[in-house]
Amino acid sequence: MYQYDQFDQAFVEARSAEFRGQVARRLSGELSEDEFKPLRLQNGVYLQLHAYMLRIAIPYGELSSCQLRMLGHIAETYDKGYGHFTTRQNIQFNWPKLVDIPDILDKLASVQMHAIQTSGNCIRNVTSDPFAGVAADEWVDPRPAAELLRQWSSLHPEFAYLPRKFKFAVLGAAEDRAAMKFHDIGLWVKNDDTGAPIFDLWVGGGQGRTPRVARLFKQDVALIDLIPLLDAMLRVYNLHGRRDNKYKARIKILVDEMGLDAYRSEVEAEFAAIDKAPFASAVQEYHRIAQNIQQAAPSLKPREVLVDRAQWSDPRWLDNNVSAHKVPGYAVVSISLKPQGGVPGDATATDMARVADLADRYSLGFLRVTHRQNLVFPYVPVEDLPALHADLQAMGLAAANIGNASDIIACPGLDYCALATARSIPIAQALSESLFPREAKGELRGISINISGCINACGHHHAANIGILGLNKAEKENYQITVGGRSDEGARVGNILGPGVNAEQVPIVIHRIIDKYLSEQRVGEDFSAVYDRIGKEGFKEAAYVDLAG
Amino acid sequence: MWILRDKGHAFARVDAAALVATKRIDSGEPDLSDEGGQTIEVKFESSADGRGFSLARRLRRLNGPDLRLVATGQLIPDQARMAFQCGFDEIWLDEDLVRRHGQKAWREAVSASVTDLYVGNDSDRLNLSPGWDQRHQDQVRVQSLTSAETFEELQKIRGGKILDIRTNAELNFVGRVSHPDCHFVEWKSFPEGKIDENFVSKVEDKGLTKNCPIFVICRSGVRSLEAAEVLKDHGFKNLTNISDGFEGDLNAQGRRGSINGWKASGLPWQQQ
Repeated sequence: MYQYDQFDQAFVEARSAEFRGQVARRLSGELSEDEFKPLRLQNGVYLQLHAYMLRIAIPYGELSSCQLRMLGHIAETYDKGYGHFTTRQNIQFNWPKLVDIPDILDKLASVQMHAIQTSGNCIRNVTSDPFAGVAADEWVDPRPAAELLRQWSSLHPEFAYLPRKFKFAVLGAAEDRAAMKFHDIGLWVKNDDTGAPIFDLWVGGGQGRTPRVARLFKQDVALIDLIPLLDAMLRVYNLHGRRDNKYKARIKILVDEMGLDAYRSEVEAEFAAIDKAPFASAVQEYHRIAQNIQQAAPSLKPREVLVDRAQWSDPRWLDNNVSAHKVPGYAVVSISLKPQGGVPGDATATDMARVADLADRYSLGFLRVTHRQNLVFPYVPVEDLPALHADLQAMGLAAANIGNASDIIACPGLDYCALATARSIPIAQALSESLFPREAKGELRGISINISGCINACGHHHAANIGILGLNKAEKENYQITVGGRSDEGARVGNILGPGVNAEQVPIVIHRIIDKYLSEQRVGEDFSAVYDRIGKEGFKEAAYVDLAG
Repeated sequence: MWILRDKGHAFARVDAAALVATKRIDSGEPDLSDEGGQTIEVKFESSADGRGFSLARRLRRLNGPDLRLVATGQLIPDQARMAFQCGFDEIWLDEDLVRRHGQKAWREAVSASVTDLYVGNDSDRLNLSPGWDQRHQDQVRVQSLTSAETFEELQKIRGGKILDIRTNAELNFVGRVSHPDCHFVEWKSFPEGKIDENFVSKVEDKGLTKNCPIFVICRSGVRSLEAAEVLKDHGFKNLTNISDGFEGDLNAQGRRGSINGWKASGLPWQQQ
């Protein structure tokens, strides 16, 4: 993983010192709450229902065991002993005191971490493929581009007060494991004929109340043009993006209202006028970062060790949680943070410390976090799989449900969030309880269920095969169900199934949808394929039979 | 009223009558239709509205380095750094803003964190060395072109500047390059041959930035190379030595000005 140099280190330390001063000015009244708000947001500090929340970036999902130990220490010392991994490769602490936050930021800086731009109307934490650098289907490691963007966007003087938040994702493999097409700008890195990186840029994806799948903006952008082109794309958005209505302020709305072609031509005019000289070092910097990442990465030698499936009495963990590694003899192991009846994405301080130890023992001290709120060990020798599985079982972290229906994405919902209109965690817990027994029979692979506690869609319900959106209808929680969404390379927004249902009815409806899918499924078909064939109506009919309104 | 400047981080109270813009643009309803004036004021409607930063970059690009670009309205001290990095020269503050945030916060606004920048831009008035440039400065090379090649290059590129580092005596008696963007900073004095310790800051004061293309010239390309190397060591990135200088090499008769060099190549020049 990327190792900070002196400049990076001084940079995060200076941010922490600056925020300490800003907190002091807020407490003394020199800064009004309105003025302090963007400053605290840009340092990851939200005000939630009960307390401040601190969101810490895990840039493009890469984490060392030492960093995870520090997160555990912070959970133990400044919070209530747990943290919550989010859908954008961040971790949130729900109970820190404002006066403690500068100290937390100092401690993060000591392990090359920060909370810079994890909130606010600025360029947010850049996300990527959690299997970056190890995936068998990867053509270019996306991390150098992601780190280049992290540096470019950090304290970008022009884009700290955009109309609305701005999210980037970077991919370099055939499969989209980062929901790239639901980002404001997505980058798909490839190699040209000479082996140099080139970029396909996608623009205008997003969720919230106006879900949009990103559209192709430009193909085959050369590295030397990348940063000035992104500057031009953001500048046009900053100048023309709507500021009269925060729900219409994202770039997806600008692209809708201007039209993609008009947006593109204004960006191209801007790009042509930009003096490229100040960006000349970007190419050298990309290669320096790539080399930096390469030097810190373990050099794995291909070995002829095969998984002996016969050894496993219940091979579901092997089938669901273990993925192919680009180096033979190694495996990529996903650790589910979705135990039966658990809170999706939560981890206790003890879990964090123990998982960090396991990462040292089995994965050379490296981990990843995923947008589906799970953890990944990227460098596990195949012969260690049984021992790792046994250790995870002893810790209660061996749920074999990666990519299954109970691998539910959920936002914090009304239990924590000031914006929420309904609870999402208890819904996820109830579903998880009832889905686990069915999964033990091996029948619920390849179905995604996501839950959001309000229309802002932090729980990615639009992008799920089965989406659940919690609303408030006449002061009662009401859940709207969508079907047919997907977040992979074939990204698509789900369709509303029919009238909303109450909390108790949610599991009933979800199980009926799953039953319908299984009864219609032909050999080789996944949920999306069945949906394409029978459409929304087929599911609707099955879901609402005899359901009291 | 108060004024906060990027250069030298000056912060002072001034008579409001002294602060007059030739054109004012509200960030809420930007109008870039007509040509800018000598002093353009960009008014920030609220500290949350960052349009003014992008406007500044466009205005700077459209009007060049001589425009005086001023930010007014609802800025907070923490935004001063961004304003200057986006191309503003000054921020004008009313008494209320200064009172509320305190003089200390404004005075410190451009100090400590101002160097926190990974990537530079063409509007950077502070002439910083951003992180990426610092990391790759050792790969910067002083290019070499003849006078004729330089002249051709200057037609092609934007914002190219000639830096003549000869002594005042040479300029006055031998002649000088005719070019709208030619600057004179003496590198070694005559007759002592003493290097000016303030050479780099004098170059910066002429508005020559670390990014702009600078073509350095002397009599025959030796001193100009020394001076260019010094600028390189101070973070200048786009340097070219004019290898044959103004007068060129000695001919068989031991005279300059006939074989090569700016003058002998038939390029535009003038006697003082």
